[in-house]
Amino acid sequence: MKINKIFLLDDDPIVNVINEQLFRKYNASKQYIVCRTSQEAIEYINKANPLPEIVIIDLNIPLTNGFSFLDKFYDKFLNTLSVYILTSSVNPEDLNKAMSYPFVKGYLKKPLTREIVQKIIAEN
Amino acid sequence: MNEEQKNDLELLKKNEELKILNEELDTFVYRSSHDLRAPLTSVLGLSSLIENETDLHKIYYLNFLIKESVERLLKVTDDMADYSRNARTHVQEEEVDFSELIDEAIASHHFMENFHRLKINLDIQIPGKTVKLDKRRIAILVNNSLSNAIKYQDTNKEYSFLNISALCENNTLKLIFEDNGVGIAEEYHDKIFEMFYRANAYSLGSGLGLYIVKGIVEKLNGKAEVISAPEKGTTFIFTFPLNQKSINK
Repeated sequence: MKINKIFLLDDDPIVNVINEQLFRKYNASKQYIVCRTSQEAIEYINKANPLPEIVIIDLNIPLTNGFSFLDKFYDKFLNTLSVYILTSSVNPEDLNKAMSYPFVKGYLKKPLTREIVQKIIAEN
Repeated sequence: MNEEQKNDLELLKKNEELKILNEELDTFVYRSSHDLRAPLTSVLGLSSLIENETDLHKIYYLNFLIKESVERLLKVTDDMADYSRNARTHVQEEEVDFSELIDEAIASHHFMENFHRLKINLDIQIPGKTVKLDKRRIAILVNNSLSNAIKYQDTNKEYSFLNISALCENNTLKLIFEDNGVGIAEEYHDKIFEMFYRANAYSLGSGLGLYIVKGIVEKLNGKAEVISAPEKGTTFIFTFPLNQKSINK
């Protein structure tokens, strides 16, 4: 599948640099949407048409967390796109919870690597 | 109830307490290991981007980001050390020249981004030159308050200020940090002192700063108050009991 939009959400701008640069190296997508706050992310998803095909989000975001973002768009994301969680968390509860969402295709440990990017591209 | 039953009950209670403590410790370990891992994983990601990069400007930029990540890691480890030092060490009072303490704190923040935007005004009204305080703890509290005021300036405003007051009255020391920074919405006022809580969407801190401050206030039998509104600014008021004899006349 040709990917048009990859959506990246992480409060850490350095992580966003790493992720975007890696995907760009593989020409993974036509467009990259990078958000630092949940507010920006919610605003974007609310009006996005079409939705991005791939969503990569962090769990530990100030004022909210990655899960409440997924809950908010549960119906919208269901059967429409692939979500990957990208986190530094070592808490097994986070992993279990993440995998309970049917649209979560992967639970990835930071940092994103070439191998993982290639895998994501191949999966979509 | 006989002695044996009493002991059993006591044991049960202790067991329950230990269980709760262990759960808290688990949370702490998960969270702090997350906070330590995050900048390290960035360093790893950035250095592998550098490996295949030929554009020198890009390499400089990625290297700059590596430095920034390492600095963040250092800050997290410093915060953790402050946290455990407060929890584990006894209060140690000594005669402290408060103006000197503030000056030292300000001097140590010179290299923070946007430090020079912030106009710091001091109003120190302490009779005599010194006051008997736990210098180390008060310094951590002042440093945290100061770095928050620098970090959370409202850069949309033409002028940013921080008014620091220290007043001795009625056997209490009152420390006030008043700024016109970005402010905190009321719904988060209760949460800002919680461990790992970050009330600002752009915060890159560990969420430990004000938790440490709260711990220090408790250890010194003091009180912490916050008055804040978005776009208006934030005022922290700390009150500590002072021994009458401790004010050097």
